[in-house]
Amino acid sequence: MGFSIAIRKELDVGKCVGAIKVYANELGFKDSAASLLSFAISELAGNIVKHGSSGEVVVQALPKGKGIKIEFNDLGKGIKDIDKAMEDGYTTVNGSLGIGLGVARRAVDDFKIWSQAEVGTRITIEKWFPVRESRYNYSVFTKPDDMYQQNGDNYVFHQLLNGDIVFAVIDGLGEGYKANKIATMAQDYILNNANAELKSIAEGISKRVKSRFKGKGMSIALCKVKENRLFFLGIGDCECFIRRLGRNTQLKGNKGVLGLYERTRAMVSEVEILPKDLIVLFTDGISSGIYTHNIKESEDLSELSSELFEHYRRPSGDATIMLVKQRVKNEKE
Amino acid sequence: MDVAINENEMSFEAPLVVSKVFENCLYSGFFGRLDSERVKVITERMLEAVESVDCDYIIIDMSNIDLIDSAIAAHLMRISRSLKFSGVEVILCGIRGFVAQTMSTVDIQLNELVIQKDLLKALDFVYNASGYKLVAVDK
Repeated sequence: MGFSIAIRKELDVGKCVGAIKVYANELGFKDSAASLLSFAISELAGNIVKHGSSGEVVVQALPKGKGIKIEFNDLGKGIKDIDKAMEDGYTTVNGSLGIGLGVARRAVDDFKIWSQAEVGTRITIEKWFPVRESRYNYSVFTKPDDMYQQNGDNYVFHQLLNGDIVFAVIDGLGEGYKANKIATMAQDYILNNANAELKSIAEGISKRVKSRFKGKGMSIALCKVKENRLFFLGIGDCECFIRRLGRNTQLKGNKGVLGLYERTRAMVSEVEILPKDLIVLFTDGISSGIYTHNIKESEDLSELSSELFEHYRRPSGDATIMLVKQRVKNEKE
Repeated sequence: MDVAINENEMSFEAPLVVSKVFENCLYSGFFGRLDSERVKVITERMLEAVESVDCDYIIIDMSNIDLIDSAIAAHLMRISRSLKFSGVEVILCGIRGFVAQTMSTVDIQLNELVIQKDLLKALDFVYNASGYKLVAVDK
């Protein structure tokens, strides 16, 4: 779905801005995002006319409700030096501020430019919907083994555009530099593939370990929250429990080492989340005595995580604890 | 197909009202999209107005403008410069919040212009600069 608008004279620029504004509004753009979008369109469509050529503007919605994409094609002289054209203050048109391309780029989330002398210029921009404020708070407390500088544990907390969240604690096999490398690789992989199902994320990490870190592996506690459901995939001795109404309930994980030997059918646990639930993830540097702890009710997760950490940290090994809880809504909201 | 209004005429449809609000001050406002043709017409009309009326300031109300891009910013500075040559200072007022926000996000500047929050502040500025003060009268 989408449409295109021809740009031949200055009057078309205003029409173009107006038409796309209506369309963007229907998609859900409002306030400052809508204003910045109109601004960028006005600059770029205006540019086509300003340089005495004509062209076409093609508008389409981005898939998965990500935002809007707009393409500006003109059959003009092309831009000789793109880097220079992007600089503020550079212009070939008399009386222009010469900041059009630069300010347009600053108004959008993605900006690509392609130009060839005597053929024309194509600029594509994308404006994305602002990411919603997270419904969840989290806190992580992590320390390496006392003997090492680098931490073989790592963690992820990431919110997707659709509001789902993905979070994990990762424990690279061993300690120090190599463990750190492998845990960081897993962190990157999760961030880059956060849209995928938990199982395929785990499989992807496993493949990378086998190809790049042969003989190594990791434990992982990987969670995704969709709407009000928590999905948990645990492999090895990274564990997860939920504290609800004064009781700690462990979620079932899988034995093994991710990337080294794991069951071919890792099981994903699924559970409904209530507003006051506290989700606790921890690596094997934290003793399992934590399951019996009567964790106090608190919104100050950073204080809580440091307390639990000090209390249950084992004498050696990298240790990490992560707490996740739904944000308490203000009366105003 | 019948066309009631020619498109080119539409672009000139720039209803510009200029009125005197103080002994040395005119007031005017912009509507709709400012393109270079309209700016030409507006500048000419403003110059005519300041020639026929004795004044030192002209307040331009921006509250009906919902987009100021770099071209419009350049136009505004051009209008201001032209009027300055006639000895008249331009004061912009009423730039809307989201317009201001957009301009600051992308870093567009209106350095040479005097900008006041709203018409009241703009008038206050003129009174002050002309040596007047607004005081309540005891009755």
